[in-house]
Amino acid sequence: MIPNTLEEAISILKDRGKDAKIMAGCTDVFVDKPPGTKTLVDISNLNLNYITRTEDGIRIGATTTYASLQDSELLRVHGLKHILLQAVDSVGHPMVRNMGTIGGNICSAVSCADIPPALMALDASLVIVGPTEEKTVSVNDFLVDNKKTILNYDEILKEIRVPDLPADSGGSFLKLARTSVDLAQVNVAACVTLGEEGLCKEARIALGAVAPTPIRAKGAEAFLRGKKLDDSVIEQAASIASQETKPISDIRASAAYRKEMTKTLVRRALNQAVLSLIG
Amino acid sequence: MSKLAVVGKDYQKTDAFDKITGAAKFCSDMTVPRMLHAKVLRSPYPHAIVTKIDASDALKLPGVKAVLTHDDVPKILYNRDYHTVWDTLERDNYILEKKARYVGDKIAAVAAEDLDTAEEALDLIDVRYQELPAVYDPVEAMQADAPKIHDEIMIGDRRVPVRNNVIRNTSLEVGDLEKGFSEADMVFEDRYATQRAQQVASEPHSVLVIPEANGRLTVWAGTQSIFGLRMKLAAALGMPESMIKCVRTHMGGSFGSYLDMNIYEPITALLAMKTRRPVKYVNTREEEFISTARHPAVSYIKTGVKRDGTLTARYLKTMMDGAAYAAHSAAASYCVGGWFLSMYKAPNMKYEGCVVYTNTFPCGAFRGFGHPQQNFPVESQMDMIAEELGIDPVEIRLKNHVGLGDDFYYQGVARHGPVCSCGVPELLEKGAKLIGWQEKRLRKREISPTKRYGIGVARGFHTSGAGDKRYGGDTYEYASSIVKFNEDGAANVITAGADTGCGEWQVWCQIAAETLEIPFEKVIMSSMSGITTDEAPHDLGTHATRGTYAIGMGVKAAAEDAKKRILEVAAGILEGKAEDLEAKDGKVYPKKSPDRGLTYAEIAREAINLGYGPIIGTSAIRPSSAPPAFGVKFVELEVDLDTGKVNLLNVVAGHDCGRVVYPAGAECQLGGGVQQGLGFALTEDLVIDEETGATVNGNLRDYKILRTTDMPPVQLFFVEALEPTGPFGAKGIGEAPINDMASAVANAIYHATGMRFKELPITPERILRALGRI
Amino acid sequence: MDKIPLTVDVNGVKYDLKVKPHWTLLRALREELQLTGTKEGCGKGECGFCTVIIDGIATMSCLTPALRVQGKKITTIEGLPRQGKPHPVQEAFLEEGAVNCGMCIPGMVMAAVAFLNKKANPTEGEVRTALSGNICRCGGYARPVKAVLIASQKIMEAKTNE
Repeated sequence: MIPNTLEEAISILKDRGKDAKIMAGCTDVFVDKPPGTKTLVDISNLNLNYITRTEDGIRIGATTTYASLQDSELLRVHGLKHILLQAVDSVGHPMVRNMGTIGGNICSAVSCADIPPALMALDASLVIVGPTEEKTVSVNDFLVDNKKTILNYDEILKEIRVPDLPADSGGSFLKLARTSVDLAQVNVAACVTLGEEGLCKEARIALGAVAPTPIRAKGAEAFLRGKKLDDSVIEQAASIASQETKPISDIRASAAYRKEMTKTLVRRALNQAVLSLIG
Repeated sequence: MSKLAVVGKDYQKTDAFDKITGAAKFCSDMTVPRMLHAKVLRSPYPHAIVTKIDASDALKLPGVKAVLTHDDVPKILYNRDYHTVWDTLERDNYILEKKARYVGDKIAAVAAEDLDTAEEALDLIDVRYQELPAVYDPVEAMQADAPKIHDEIMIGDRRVPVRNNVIRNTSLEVGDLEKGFSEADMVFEDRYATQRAQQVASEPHSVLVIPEANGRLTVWAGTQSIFGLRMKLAAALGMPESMIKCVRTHMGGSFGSYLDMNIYEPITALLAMKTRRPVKYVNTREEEFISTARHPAVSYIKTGVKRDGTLTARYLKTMMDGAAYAAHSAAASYCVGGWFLSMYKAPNMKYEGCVVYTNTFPCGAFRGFGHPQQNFPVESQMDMIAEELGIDPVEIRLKNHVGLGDDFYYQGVARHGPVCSCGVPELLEKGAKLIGWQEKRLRKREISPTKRYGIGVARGFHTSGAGDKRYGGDTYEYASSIVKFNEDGAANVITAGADTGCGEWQVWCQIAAETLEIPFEKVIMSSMSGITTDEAPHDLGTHATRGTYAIGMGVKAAAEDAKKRILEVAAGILEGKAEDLEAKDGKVYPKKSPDRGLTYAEIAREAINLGYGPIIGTSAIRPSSAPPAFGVKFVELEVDLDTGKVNLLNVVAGHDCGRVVYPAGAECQLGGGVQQGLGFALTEDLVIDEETGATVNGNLRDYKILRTTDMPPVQLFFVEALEPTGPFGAKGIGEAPINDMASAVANAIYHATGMRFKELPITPERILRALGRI
Repeated sequence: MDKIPLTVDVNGVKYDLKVKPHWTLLRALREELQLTGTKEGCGKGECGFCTVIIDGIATMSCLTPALRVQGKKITTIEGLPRQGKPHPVQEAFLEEGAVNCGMCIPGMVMAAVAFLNKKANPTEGEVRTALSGNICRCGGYARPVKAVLIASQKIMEAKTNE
């Protein structure tokens, strides 16, 4: 089914949504053929492919492809790659990036998805449209469980809103995988903001592939607040973050490796976040 | 040797234009009118008896034309391996089974009007299984209480009971091992293991069988040997060979995947015979992953050395996983022995090999055919010995390698002969120079607190075919070609040899052109896709790195025969004697008056006009040797101690194939072997779930082969140690490029970290575990 | 399942097809149009063999529902030559001896063409990234990468000569 307006799409979903899947880039939904569902709702014609600048941030339509994000000037700030762009660059390979969408990555709700940690560290919000209302939720509340979002069967993710980071902020996204084109064994996004006397005012650390959903390492974040971000503090925060993970063992990595690599990646991401501040 | 005109030069590959335009049709591209589509119903259990099978619902589905089960197949056991002679090959496979021995085993098959219907029909076949305990490890499978995978098999005409699931034991011995160890100053003992890796040829198996009106079958299928396939298919179906016509097709790679008849050809043939319609079968990638693989192996290696680095005794015992059906298992196991004996010189050597059935999908032939499984222990231990004795790893190899004049043990068992061409010293020395071995070996390993630098070396070889001075033996080996002239002076080469993408057609055309002394452009490879077993002379096919050496030998001989005929006919036309004539550069002229002469074209045309008949040359020869083609690998890398990841910095790969016939092709073979070898070293591992017996990662997402962005810079070089028995001095190249790559990586990782890894692949997890980090 | 009509523009020619809803563009190209130049290597978006160009974008046809391409312009390997002359990428692959078995070639060529249409004068690293979705098991990638770099030179020269 190929609706032409958002209203049309939602009305189709209302009707058949329990048994339907949404498709945009098809890099996930169309892998198994037949796609294990009676109804596919193609939302690529709903004009949700855009990247625009507002006063306080960037708004991205849910069916914006990774390639469009890579081509956008808005994700390069003073020659530095936006954290979201770092995550986008790591997804799949060129054809996947040509076809796949940012919304698809989020709504797949898989534990190892690369986009959610970046958005969580950026404290992004998501605009959801349903039959009766349009609402905005924090990305941190969007993923409920492995392959499960808060979306009702008759709701669609419409837009991603990424706020600009305050002054004196830095961030980094890192992904560890077996080879250059792979799903993440662990991915980490970290954003820090410095306050008075160069002490950490705010920290957000998001971890992917180490729990049923991407998570925020709230313990590590709390530890960092108010402290000077030196090697020892970063090291300790990385340890705390590692303890907050609940990884499984699968073909890509063992739980033990994931726990240990969380430590390494959080440490590296925080170091790079601090470096990007200075630079 | 005089300067060569065609051999050694690069021309556009015979099939390149058709492939770059997408015009070349592979078997999976072919369609014929009224074609049906086949699917195979596979066992979900690793070990189970089929107690009931009811296909009535499937047969009722509109569009389904046939469903076959074990009851419908000829009660003839077969073995898919087509290079091992009948008298020694373990036959343990039916076309469809009533006992499943691995997850994916062939239980039933459907032919339907379209693929969707065939897939739907599979779900409608009702199969009941009685599950049996399963075993996945060869050592466990040998225990007295292990599940019995096969009760009785056939070898030649004999029924042979299977004991303890053992397929074959092999023992090769030279000298007196006990004595050798007693003479040693030091003895080294280690255990090594290599994993189940998959060829991942680009094109999955596909077959198209067309039943002809007169009862014959025309079979299109990717295969390394149309005659080998014909032989196996005829045996499995219980038909005379001449009733089957196998057609050569373009192939999307092989690396050994197609060195046999797999389960698909006989199943498709039976469906075609049953329905009297053409039937096509195509593997999905996941099905391809359980069709063939490298035999996993565990080796125990013991070496006795003198303090000066001389080897007094060498012993290898290899336990190989033979999977659910023997296929090439016995050959792979005894080949390991042959390779082992031929790596280094020692007066006393022994190899013991054992290959055992397990409930895993069948292994097949994978580039190297047992060589990487012994290269890893041998080359790793050689480095350990070098370190202990304070000898440079390159030096110790220069000192001990089997080389010119030494005994070389071909493919194991009873064959051996002297090495007649050897580029090993130059490979080691030049490779060392290219990579900067001396200086880099002394480099500081610790680049940073968490990064280590290392450089390593390893060497290997492969035989060029399976030839031998004596007739007989375990492996078929013979070459045969036809060369014939057209009236315009162009020559056709007719050979059954396969080109799996490697450029063998190119090589054979170049050899023919050089021999005939005509331009490359005037040689035609007859029906690259389309030559059949009806018109090509019987040749074993492209395997065991025999394409350039053995098939090339056959092409050269046929071209020489054609040239002889040219001279005879020219003598008749010029009214003289053949011995007074000279054939040179496409012309024949009397030695005494070189300005009088005829071109080949004129001779060929006149031959038709005057009734001499067409100019044809033929050959049917057995190569009397299988000369080793040697290789060497150097690799530099960095190990990240925080993540365990290995960052490959640089590879220098060298190969001695004697005369390089087709340079671009040779480079692609060497470069491709590097890619596969690096994967074998670091990322490729096809894992079996020991709860279910199914593969965990039999797909391209989770079986990691290297991409453009994973490859380090690779420098390739060739050493041409001309082989006196080879066409224009050529030997082979196909398999050696992968054989020693992983060993070099393991040696470099040791140099970097001081940690010796004795299991492949060397994953980041294994590195971190060795560091005690997890 | 009933077939649904579909009009596609492939290599500049309009075709009227009937496809089932779950069919991929790959299947439609190979089976309905007999354009077998585009290959299937995995059916799951990993190997890149099925790459075609849709509205200028390198796309995996094994993951594209056939019904989705209504009204779009598709270019396959068969549609690359202009006035009988091979595309500079094809020429470069031939000159550099970069064709082995040929299975990965159509997908790799299409990915390269789409890439070079957008990027002039790429570095080797950029070419490797552009081809990272195309696996090859034969030759180790060195010659295809070099061929794409040479093709980019050819394309630049052709532009300056215009």
